[in-house]
Amino acid sequence: MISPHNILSIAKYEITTLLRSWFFRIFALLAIVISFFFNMGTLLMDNNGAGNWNMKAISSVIPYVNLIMLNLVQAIIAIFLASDFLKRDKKLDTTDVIYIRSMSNGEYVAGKTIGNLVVFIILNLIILLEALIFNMIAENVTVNWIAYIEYFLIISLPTLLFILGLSFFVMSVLKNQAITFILLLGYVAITIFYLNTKYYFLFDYMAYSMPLLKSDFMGFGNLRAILIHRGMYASFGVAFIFLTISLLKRLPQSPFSNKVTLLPALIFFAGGVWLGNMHVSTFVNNQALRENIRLLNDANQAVPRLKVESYVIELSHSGTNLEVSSKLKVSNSHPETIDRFIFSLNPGLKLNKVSFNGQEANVKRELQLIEFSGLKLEPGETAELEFNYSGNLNEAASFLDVDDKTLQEAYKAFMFQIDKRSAIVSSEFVLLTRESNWYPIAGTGFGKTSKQWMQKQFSKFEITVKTKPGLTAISQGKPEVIDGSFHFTSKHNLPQISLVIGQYVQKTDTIDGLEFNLYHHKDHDYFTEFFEPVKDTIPDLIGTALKDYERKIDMYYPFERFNLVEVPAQFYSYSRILIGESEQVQPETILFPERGLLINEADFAGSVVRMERWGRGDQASTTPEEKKVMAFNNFLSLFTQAAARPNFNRSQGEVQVEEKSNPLYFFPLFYNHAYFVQSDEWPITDRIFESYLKQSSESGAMGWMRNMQGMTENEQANLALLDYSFAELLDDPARVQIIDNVIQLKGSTLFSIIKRKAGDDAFDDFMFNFLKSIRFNSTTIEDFNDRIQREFSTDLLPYMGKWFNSKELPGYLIGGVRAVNVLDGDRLKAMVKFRITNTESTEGIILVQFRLGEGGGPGRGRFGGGGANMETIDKLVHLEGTQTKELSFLLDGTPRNITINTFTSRNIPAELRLPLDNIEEDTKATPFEGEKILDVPVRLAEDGEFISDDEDPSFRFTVSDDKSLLQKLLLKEEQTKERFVGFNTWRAPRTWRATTNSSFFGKFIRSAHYVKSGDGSKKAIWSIPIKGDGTYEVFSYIIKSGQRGPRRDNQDSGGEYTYTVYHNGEKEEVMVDLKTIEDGWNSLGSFYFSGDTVKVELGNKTAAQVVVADAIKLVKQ
Amino acid sequence: MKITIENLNKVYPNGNHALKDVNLEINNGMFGLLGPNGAGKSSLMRILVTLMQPSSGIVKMDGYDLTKDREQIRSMLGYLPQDFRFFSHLKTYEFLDYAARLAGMKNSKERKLAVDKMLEEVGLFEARDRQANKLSGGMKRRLGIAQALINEPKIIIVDEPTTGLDPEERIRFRNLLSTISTQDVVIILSTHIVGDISSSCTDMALLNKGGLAFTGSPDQLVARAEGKVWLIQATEAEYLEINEKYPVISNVPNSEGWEIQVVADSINGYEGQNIAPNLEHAYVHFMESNLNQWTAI
Repeated sequence: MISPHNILSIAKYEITTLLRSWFFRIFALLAIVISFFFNMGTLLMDNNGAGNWNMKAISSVIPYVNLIMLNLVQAIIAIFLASDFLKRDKKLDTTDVIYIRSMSNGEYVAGKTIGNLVVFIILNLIILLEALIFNMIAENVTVNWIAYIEYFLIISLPTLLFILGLSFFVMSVLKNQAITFILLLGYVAITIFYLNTKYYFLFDYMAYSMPLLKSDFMGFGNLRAILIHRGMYASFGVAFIFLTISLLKRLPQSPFSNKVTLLPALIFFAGGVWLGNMHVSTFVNNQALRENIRLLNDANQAVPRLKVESYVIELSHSGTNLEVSSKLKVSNSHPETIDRFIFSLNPGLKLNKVSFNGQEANVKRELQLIEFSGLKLEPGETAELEFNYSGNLNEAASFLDVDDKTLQEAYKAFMFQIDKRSAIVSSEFVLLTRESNWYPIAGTGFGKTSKQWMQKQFSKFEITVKTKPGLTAISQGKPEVIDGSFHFTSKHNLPQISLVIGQYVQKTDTIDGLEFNLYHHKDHDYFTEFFEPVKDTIPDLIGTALKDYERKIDMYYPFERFNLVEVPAQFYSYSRILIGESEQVQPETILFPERGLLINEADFAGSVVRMERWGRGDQASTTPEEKKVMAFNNFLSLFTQAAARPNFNRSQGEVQVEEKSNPLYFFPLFYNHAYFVQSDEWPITDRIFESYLKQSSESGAMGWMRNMQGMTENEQANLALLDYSFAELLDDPARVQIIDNVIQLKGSTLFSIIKRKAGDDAFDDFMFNFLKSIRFNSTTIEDFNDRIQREFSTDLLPYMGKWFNSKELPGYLIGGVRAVNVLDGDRLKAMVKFRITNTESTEGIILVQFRLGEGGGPGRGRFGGGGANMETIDKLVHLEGTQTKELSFLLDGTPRNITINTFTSRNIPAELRLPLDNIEEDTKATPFEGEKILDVPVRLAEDGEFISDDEDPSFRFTVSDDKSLLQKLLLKEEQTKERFVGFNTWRAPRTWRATTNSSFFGKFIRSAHYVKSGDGSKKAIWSIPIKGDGTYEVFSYIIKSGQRGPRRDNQDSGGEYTYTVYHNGEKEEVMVDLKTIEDGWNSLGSFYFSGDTVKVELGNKTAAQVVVADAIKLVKQ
Repeated sequence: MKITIENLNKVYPNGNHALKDVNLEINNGMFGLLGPNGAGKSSLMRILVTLMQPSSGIVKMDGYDLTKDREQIRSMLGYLPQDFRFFSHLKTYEFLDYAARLAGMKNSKERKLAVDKMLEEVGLFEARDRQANKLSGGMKRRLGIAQALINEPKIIIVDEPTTGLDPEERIRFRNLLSTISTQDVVIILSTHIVGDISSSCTDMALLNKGGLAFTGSPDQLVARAEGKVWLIQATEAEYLEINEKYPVISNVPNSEGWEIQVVADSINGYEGQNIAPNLEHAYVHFMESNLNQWTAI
C-alpha cells in the first residue's frame, strides 16, 4: 500500500530543505526581483507610463510572458536542484537512518519529487501573484484570471515534471552531479537554439517557442496540439521518475518492488512516445498532404476552367462543424466545348452530394479536387451546380505556395509566440477566407508549375449563415437578419468572400455615403470612452483620410461599405511573391488583430502619452482633444502606409534591416479586390499593374536603411537584375525579400515607356478610364494593349518579352550639376542644370525630384500623415541607349537638393541625392526648362586626368584577420558577406569594407572603402595608370560627411589622413587635415612620376574614428 | 522478540569476505557486539538494518524474514549509524520529527509530545531550534540516539553510540538503554568501548575477520581470563622489556618506576600478582590467546 503519510513527510522536509538552500533562495529572489522590474517596466513605466502595448493588448499575455521567462530559468535551476537530491543522499551519512524507515522507494522518490515540485510551484505562485498585482494596477488591461491557471498548467508543470524526472534519471545513471548538469545544460541549449521549432516544436520541452497565446475570441485555438505536446513531456517526466525509483540505491521494501516500478515507467514512456508520435504525425501528414495537393494541382492544370457567374451559399455553423450548400451558376467562357472540368474544395470538407443542372452528378473527389466528367458544356453555355458538404477545414491546404520552412517558422512577437491560423471553425468563432477554399472554386489551386490559381474570377455572391444565438456573422454585401440567420447580398461581382462568426458588437456610421462598420469583440471596447470627447470629429477624420488617400493614388474606393473586423491574433497571413494582397484585407473588409496586438497605433492612450513624451505639437497649445484626434489619425495611417516597421536584427555585429510590408495596408481594397489583369504568358502582369498604381503611395526606399546595411532592397533588386532576368527571379524562392522591389522596378520601367510617349496626364486619364471600365471584372493584358494601341499607337506586347527576359540594365553618368538663380520675366527662379549619359545600350527612365522649401527632416513621422511643408517636384526623363542629355529645370522655390532616381539601373545608390548648396544669382544665365540631346557624353575623367576608384579591380587593401579564436570557431562559415555594408562610425569594420553613398565618387557604383582607425597597418592601395612621364598633381576624393557619417551627429571632423605617394623610386607621406578639406577632390601636391602606374596608399592611422578610401585622380601638368 | 541469524555471509563485489557463516541468536535485552576494526561489525549491522543485502544466509526478526519482510522489519527498527554528522538544512527538532513521522507516528499532537520528550531525555531540548548541522559532535550523537529511539522501536541497533559523548552523557545513555532493554526489545550495541558492554549487556558476541569468535555473556568471557591478568611493579628497563613480550593493558608511573597490568598466561621472571579480570582484560586476553590478534587492537 502506498502511504500518503510517508510521501507527505518526505515532501515536507524536502521542501523545508530546498527553501533553505541558498542556491534556490538566490534564484527565487532574482526571479522575483527581475519579474518585479519587468512587470513594472512593461506595464507601468514603458512609454512614459502608458505601458507596453504588446503586453497589454491581450490580457492573457501577462501571465504568459511572466511564466515563459520564469520557466526558461527554472528549467535550468530544476536540473541542479533535482540532481542535488541524489547527491545529498549519497553525501549525507544521516540519510541511512531515513533509508531504514519503513517506506517504499516509490514513496521516497515520490516525496522528493513532490518536494521539488512544490518549491517551484511556490515560486510560480509568487511570480504569478506579482504579475497579477501589476496586471490589476495597470490601466487599459483586464485580468484574465483563468489564463493564470492555464499557463501554469501548460507551461510550468509539464516542464518541471519532465526536467525533474530527466535530471533524477540522468543523475541515477551517471552518479555525478557535475556531468549531469553539463549534459542536461547542453540538452537545454540544443532545444532552445537548434531544435526549438523543428517538427512543430517537438523538442521544445519548456514551451519556449511553442505558440501559446490565448485569444479572447477562441482561446488557444491549438489546445489539442498543446495538450498532446505538454502531455508528452509530462508523461516522459513521470516515466523518468518511475525509472529513478527502480534505480534508487536503497533496498526496496519488497524484493520485487524495484522491478514493479519498471512497468509504470514503461507505460508512461510508451504514453509519451504515443503522444509524441501523434504530435509529429499530424505535422508530417500535413506536410505530405500539402505536397500531394500541389502535385494533384499540377497534374490537372491543363483542364479548362469554368467561369463562375454566381454563388448562392447557405452555411450553418454548429460546434466545429459546418453544413454548407453552395449553388453555382457557371459558364463556359472558352471557345471549345468542355466535357471535363474541375473544382477545388478544402480536403477537410466532406462532399455529401453534387448535382449538375438539378441532376445528381457523379464526380470524382480526390483530396481537394472535385472532377466532373462526361458532361458537355458548349461555348457560352451556362449550367447550375450544387455542392453539399460538411465538416471542418484542414488548414494544411492553405498557403500552398509558402514553403515548409517559412510555414514552420514561429510567429514571434515581443517575448511570446502566436499560433498561425489560416482558417478557424470553433464553437464560438469562425473565420474563413478564400485561401482556405471553404467554398468551391473553379479550377486548380497552387502547384509548382500551375499558375491557374492566381487568375481571379469575379462572381456574384449571396450567402446565408445560421449559427448559434449570441453570435454574429460578417461577410461581404448588404447585411440583413432574416429569421435569426444572417443574409448577405452583394450588388456587384467580387473576387472572393470571407466569413467571420463571433461574439461581436457592431458600431456603424455612414460617412460621405459610405457605410463604415466596426465589429469588435463584446469585451474589447477600450476606445469609445477614450474618444468620447472627439467623437463628433471622428467621421470627418475618417472621411478626410480616405479622400487624402484616394487623391494620393488617384483611385476611388470601389465598395459601398468598409468593415473593420476584429479577429483573433492568431489569424496569420504570409507575404507572398505572386499575390499582392494579404489575407487581412478582404473585399470591403479589413480583419484587424485582436485589440490591435503588436500594433502600437491601436494603443490610443499610449499614443497620447508618446506624443507628450516626444513633444509632438506644442504642449501648451495642444489640447487633450487634439491629442486624441492625432492618436486617431495615427491609427488611420496604419491602413494608408505601405511599409510596416522594418525588422532589425544583428548578425556578427552588422545590423540587418528587412523591409516589411504592412499587412493592414488597405491598397488591395482599391485595386486587388476590384480589378484583375490576366496574362497567361506573364502571370505576374497583374502585380505589375498593382505595383504601378500603388507606387505613388509609397515613399520609395528608406534612406536611413542604406546607412544601416549598405544597400536598400531596391538596390539589391537591381544587382540581382544584372545577373538574372525578371522571369528567373520570379522562380527563385530565395529572393522573396526583394521580389516586391523587382516587380515594382520592372513595373515602373514598363509604364514609364508608355507614359513617356503618351504624356503623364494623358496616361493617367487613360488608366483611370481603363480601370473604371473593368471594375469588378477581370480583363487581359491583350485587351489593355489594344486600348493602348488605339489611344497612343504604342504596342506594348513586343516590348514585354524583352522586359521579362532581359538582363540588360541602363547605367547613368551624371555631370555638371549646377544651380543658379535666374530672372524669368520678373520672377526670380532657381535653375538647376545637369548632364546625364546612359552609357549602356538599353533604354532607361529616370525620375528627377526636387525638394523645395525649408524644414522637415529626412524621417517621415507616422504622426498625422505627411511631413512638413515641403513641396516635391517630379520629372520623368527617358534616355535611349548611349544617349546624353542636358536637363534644365526652373523652380519657383529654392531647391534643397536634387534626387535622381534611376529605377532599374546599374547605379548604386539607385537614388542619387545631390546637395544644391550656395545657389547664387547669375544675371547672365538664360532661363530655360527642358532637355537637349548632346553629342558629348558625360565623362568621369577629362583628357590628361587619370582616376582610380575603389571599385576598380586594381584597388587593393591589406586584409587582416583579427578575429578572436571564439569568433573563428563559432562563426566559421558565416563569412558570405554582403558586397556593401552600412556606414557606421561608432562600430566601424576592422577590415576595409565597401559602403555606398551618393556623395562618394564612382562610375555607376558610388562607393568607398572604410575601416576603423588604428595603427596605420591597414592600408588602401590605388594603382593609377598614367600615360607618359611628367609632373602630375595628385588629388584624393574626400567628403566631409564620409567622416561625420550620414547621421550628421555632433562629431567633429578632427584628425588627418596619411597618404603615401610613391614617385620615381621614392615615397613621400602627405598629411591631409580633415578640418580643412573640401567635399570632393583635394590636392595632395604635385609629383614627378615615371613608368606606367602610380601607387598611392592610405593608412588607417588617424585621430578620426574611421578612414575612408574613395578615389585618386592624377592631373598631368 | 528474538533475532536469529543463520549462516550469514557477505562477500563484497571486490571479493572481501566480510561475514563468514555467522550464526547467532539474539534475545530480548541488550546485546553487545565487540570486535576489532574490519571484523565485520558494521557489515552485520548494515545487513540487520536492511541497508545492505546479505550474500547468503537467513536472518529472522520476530519471525519475519529480513529479505522478504523488510516493511515489517523496518517498522520495528531504530538505528544509529557509526557516522552521523551531516544533515540537510534541518533544525534539531525537525530532524527528529522527520524520523518520527517515518517511524510511523501519524498523529501530529502525539508526535510533537514524543519529540519534545525525547529531546528532553537526550538533553537537546534547549537546542531544538538549532540547525542540526551546527550542533557539537556530542549533541549530534545524542540527536542520533534520539532518532533511533523515537516511536519505541522493537529492535534498536546502535553502532558506536557513545563515541564523542562525555562520561556523564555516556552513563546517562547507558542507563537509558538499560531501561528500554527491560521491555520486549532487542538492543544490539556495537562498540569499541568494552565498558559500554560490561556495564549493560546481558549477552555479547565477539567478531573477528568476519567470523564469530565468541558468544555468551560478558561474565563468561571474563571467566576465561581468570588468573591471566597480572599487576607488576617494574623499573623503567623492565617496563620496556615487558612491553615487548606481553600485552600491557595499563601503565601507571610511580616513584619506583611503573605499575603495569599485563594479560598473560604466566609472567616468568617478573614480580607480579594476579588480579581479578574485567571485560576489557578478558577481551584482550581472548584476542591474544585465541586469535593472536594483539597488534590489530
